[in-house]
Amino acid sequence: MRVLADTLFTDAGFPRTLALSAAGHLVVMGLLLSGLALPRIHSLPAPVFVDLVAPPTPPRAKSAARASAPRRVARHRPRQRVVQPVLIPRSPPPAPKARPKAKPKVAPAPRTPPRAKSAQTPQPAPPPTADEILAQLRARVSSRPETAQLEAPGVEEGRFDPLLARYQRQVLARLRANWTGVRAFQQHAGLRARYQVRLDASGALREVTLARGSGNPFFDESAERAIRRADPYPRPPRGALTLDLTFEPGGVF
Amino acid sequence: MSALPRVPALAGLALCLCALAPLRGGAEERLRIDVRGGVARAVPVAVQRFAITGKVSAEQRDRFDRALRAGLEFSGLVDLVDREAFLDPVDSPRPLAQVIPCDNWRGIGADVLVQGSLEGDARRVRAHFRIWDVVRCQMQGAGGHFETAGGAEALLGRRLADEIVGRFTGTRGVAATQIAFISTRSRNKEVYLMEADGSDPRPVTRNRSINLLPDWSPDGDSLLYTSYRRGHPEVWRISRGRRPNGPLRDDGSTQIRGVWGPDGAGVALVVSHGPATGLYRVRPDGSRLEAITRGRFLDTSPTWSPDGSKIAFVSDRSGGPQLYLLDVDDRSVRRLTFEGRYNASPAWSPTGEWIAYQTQTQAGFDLYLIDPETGTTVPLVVHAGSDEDPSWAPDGRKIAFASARLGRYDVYTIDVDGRNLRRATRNLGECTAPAWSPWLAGGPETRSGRGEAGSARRYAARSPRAAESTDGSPGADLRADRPASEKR
Repeated sequence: MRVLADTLFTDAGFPRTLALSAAGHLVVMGLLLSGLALPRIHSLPAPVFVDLVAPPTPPRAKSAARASAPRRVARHRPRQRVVQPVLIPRSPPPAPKARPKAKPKVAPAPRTPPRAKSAQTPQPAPPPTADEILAQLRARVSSRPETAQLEAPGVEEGRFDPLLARYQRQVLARLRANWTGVRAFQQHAGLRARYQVRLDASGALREVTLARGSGNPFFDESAERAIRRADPYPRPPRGALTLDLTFEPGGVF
Repeated sequence: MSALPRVPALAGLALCLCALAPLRGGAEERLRIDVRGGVARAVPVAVQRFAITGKVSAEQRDRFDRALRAGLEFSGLVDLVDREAFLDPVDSPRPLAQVIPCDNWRGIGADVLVQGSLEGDARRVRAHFRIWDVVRCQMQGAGGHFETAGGAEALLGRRLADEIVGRFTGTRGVAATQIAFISTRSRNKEVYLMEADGSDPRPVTRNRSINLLPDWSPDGDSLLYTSYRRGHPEVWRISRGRRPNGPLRDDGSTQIRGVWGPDGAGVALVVSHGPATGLYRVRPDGSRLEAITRGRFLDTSPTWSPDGSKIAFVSDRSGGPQLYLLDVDDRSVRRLTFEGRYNASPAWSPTGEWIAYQTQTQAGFDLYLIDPETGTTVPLVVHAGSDEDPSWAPDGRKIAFASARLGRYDVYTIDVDGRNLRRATRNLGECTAPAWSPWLAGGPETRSGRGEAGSARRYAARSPRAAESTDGSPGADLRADRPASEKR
């Protein structure tokens, strides 16, 4: 290496060096001008036009939607990287707030006048439709303070807790599946029994307390049997848990 | 400025931290859940075969066992656990145990365990029983026993089934009640009687005339029915253990129908006077007739409210048959039904919340329920065939009715929520006008537990000999213990 360096940079080798350098530069220029040395730049694929007919979906769903849409992509390039359009993500929806229920006005049951067959008597008002009757019954039920509660599962004090909501659904399904003999009480309107149930961190039943009876001890006992039959419960999401359970038989119709 | 002494400063800091620390552990999370209705599951009941003591035969035990299991299934509230699944013996222990292995019974899915023993002989049988809540692992009420005459083991089984239902629901079952109805089996319309599940049908009348519209007294001791035996319709009365008393009112009037009110309310009588038919009220002995509807209308088919303050009836005062409500005290009348051209046969539920009735359709009639307060209607039996003549069971959970769904009229029973449809009569001709008895005042005697005391003599067992009685006299004993040899 040293010999070569000495040879190249002595007075006698300078012209040769210069010539080599010039030749090299010329070669490079030639290559550049001919385009052989440059990496090929693939032409961009044609833009994909997507008609958004539904609200924006998560990226997984969007790629599935695009997969089904007609595409114009370059051929024979299976590993081609498609340029994704950049989307500005939406901000997450605000948590639902607990709306205090206003006391709805309970409309009195309409009393339709007797239907007269004679053409001379005036036409009576038509009887209420099934929807009107259902609306009246719903208004009557929702006007009760006990039922004017937060409707969304897992919503406690205005906060939505998805873990708790899921656990609530699991426990509810388990209790309903284990509540036998409830048909015997479905004709008794207004029965409501409240229990406090303590579960340990593993979901095992530790304590059952009747917080408020329904007035019908047989109904209360049937609810207690449902609580005990449902043991063991699913593991609570965050350790030991107290359940405030309200049992109602539901109507016959 | 001098620095604070280190040791006192650290001690002070530790003290502050201790004071700020929570006095107890973190508050436990709470979750509120509203459970509204189950999935309509019946109560799983395991019934051990009753042990035999004394001179009770295996046949007696089997009759009792079959009736007990049938009575529980008839309630519609019970699922019997298959005996093949028992981890414990199929037969009840003798003597009955003070504790039971609840886990064994819970493990096979039972909520309730029934066990007991039969003692006695061919003339008298006593059933000792215990009912266990295996979920809460305790006895459900006190143990008890029922007793009846030999040959009535089936009645004993049905009565125990009703007791079991009552201990878990607060309302006694109705397996040990009866249904009176009209049958054309003998080619005449006679009054018949059967157990609520349709077993043991037998005639009450054999007068070879037209008999209609039976109705029970509040104590289940007597029946009123309309009979043409003397050529015109009259309301007759027949009672258990005695020969019939004859017409309720022997005044020659045209009496269409008699309907017993609750205790003390009297009898609502439908009497025809010329072109009009009106409602009257009389005492149970037929005295003191007073009109409660007036006008030249056709008023018929009365049914009392449970408290006796109102009567629902059918009237054509607005043109076609519709249901009306009458206040017994002030005699005010208001119309109840406004849908359908032809509404008839009202039957007020024992709980007072609903009135069942039939409404005309293209193919005949369907059964509906109407709330007497609001007028809300709910379909009960909607079928291509004609369904008529609803009659409530005393628990308010079942209804008997006549249906022509299979071509010929038969009596059916159904739960008020539309489940548990059962055909009660078979091969008895045309069976119509069912009347469900109240809980029978006399029943198998009880000595302890929650059973009711009663005179076994008033609810006499139907001996095999009675089945052969063939009296032709007007009216036969309801239980036909002995041939009614006397004639009027």
